Amino acid sequence: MSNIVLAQEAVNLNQGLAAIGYGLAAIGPGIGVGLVWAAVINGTARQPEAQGKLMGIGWTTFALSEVLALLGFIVYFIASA
Amino acid sequence: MSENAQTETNPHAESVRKLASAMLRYALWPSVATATVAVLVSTLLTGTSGLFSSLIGVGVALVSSLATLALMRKTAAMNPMMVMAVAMGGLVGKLLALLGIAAALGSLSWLHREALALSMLAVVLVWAGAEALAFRKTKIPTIIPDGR
Repeated sequence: MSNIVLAQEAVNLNQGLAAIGYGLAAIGPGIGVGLVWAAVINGTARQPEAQGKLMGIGWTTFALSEVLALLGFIVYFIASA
Repeated sequence: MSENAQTETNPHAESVRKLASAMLRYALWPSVATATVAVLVSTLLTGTSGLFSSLIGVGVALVSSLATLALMRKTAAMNPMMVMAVAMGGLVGKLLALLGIAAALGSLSWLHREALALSMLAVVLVWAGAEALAFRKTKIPTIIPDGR
């Protein structure tokens, strides 16, 4: 057995790498949610009567973006095993 | 409708609350059914550890999804800038809570990680799909103010 394989078996990095992956996976939804609400604010400023409609679209897409963050959490659990 | 009556009822807030109710109505029972199936399958395949792991996963998914709808109801009457701040704060809070849960569960030896992760995945996907369906089916009016 090579030294590299022995070193890999001595130190289990899975937990730490999975946590880093979870952090990276949180970046995308953060950007997505920011873009969604920026568009809602923009749209409401241009057309105030559409506020209710835009907020509905905003919350639906917010929920879908948030699913990505939850997927990061799920992958964290599978990867850190 | 007079200006006073409009500020009292706030039709925009009403339409957001209506959408939140529709989302809850569409998503709750399919998600509960999915959760039940996920818990049963986990228990059958992996035993008691699978049962508890799956329950944790399903619980986290349901609480997380319900929190978004609660946030939606609470902020319905706010202006979009405040809603953005609250939504971003909610996302950050949720991510921190999930990190805390991950740290707390990380050291448990009996935890069946795949059962937890896959049960959570199933519930989250069904909930998100049902929410999207509710959005498609709910009619949200464009409010034309007086004097136009």
